[in-house]
Amino acid sequence: MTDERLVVIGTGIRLVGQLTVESTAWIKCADRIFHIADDPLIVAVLSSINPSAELSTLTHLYGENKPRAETYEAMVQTIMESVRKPGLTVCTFYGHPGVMAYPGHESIRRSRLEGFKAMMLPAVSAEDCLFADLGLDHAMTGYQTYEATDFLWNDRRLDSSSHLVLWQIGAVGDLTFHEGEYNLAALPLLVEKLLRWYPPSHEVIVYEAAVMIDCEAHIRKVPLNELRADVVSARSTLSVPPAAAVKVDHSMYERYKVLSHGR
Amino acid sequence: MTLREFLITLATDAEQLAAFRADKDKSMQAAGLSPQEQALIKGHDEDLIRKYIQEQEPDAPQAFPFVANGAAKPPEQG
Repeated sequence: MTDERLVVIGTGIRLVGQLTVESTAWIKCADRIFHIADDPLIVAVLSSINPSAELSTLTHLYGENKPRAETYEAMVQTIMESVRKPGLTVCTFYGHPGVMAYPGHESIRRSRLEGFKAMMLPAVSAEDCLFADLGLDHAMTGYQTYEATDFLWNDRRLDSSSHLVLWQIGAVGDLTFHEGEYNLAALPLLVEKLLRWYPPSHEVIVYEAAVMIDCEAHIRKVPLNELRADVVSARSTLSVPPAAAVKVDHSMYERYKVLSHGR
Repeated sequence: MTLREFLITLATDAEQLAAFRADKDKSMQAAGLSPQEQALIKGHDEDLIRKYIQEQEPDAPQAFPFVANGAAKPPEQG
């Protein structure tokens, strides 16, 4: 019997092909599996891998207009009730279980506080899909990334010579859950803030990774000043290419040259 | 095999996925997918694939709306 009491895994974004061998092995070992899968097919995949495990959803904890933070706390409490029972609890999220996903991190933290062995496994996130689909290599451009609401509310500073990615723009400013569209009243404010660093005509990309086999990602290019609610969905991520050439740090580069000359 | 079962098989069996990658037509025919189902896979339209699966198996669990699982903390909450 394994020492672990909680393993938090991600199923990736694509339904077929992104569940790792390591995660599959832990699913097979689970006594109880919780999932926050938006797709019933992935639930069937979990059940197919381990038909004897007790399989429970956490999605019933969401409620229309209910603050998502309240739902996350209820999820953590549900997971912890299971962790305190004998046996292995596996909690699965879509994408990466630790990227834009609070309940997994918090469940592990509380499990360890209570003396239980707990861990998270890496998985394919929407960010990984974005790098592949948009051909983005941040070794070349640099890379900044923020959760959209966090970026809006806080005094985040941008370097417009590097690539920017903002997550959850389809829910910017709305901390509640909705079965349909989110309230995007704050989207114009987000655009206004971005205009501090980018020209209105700067082309930005509204990105949604593909989920089904052989389907392509949704990639929509629009000028920044035309980024409106009708081109954004709850799944959307905003990718903003650099708008300025990178500036060389001359003093540091000169010092580097002196150093490398002396080698 | 239904289209739903076929996708679940590809998600859990690397050999079957490799066979699909090597020859999609042969793989889908071997699984017994109908011409309509094969056309759906080749059509690359996520919404149509989902709609078909839900219509064929109405008792299967339905898709839950996508939801963000991280939330920013309002500044007044520190």
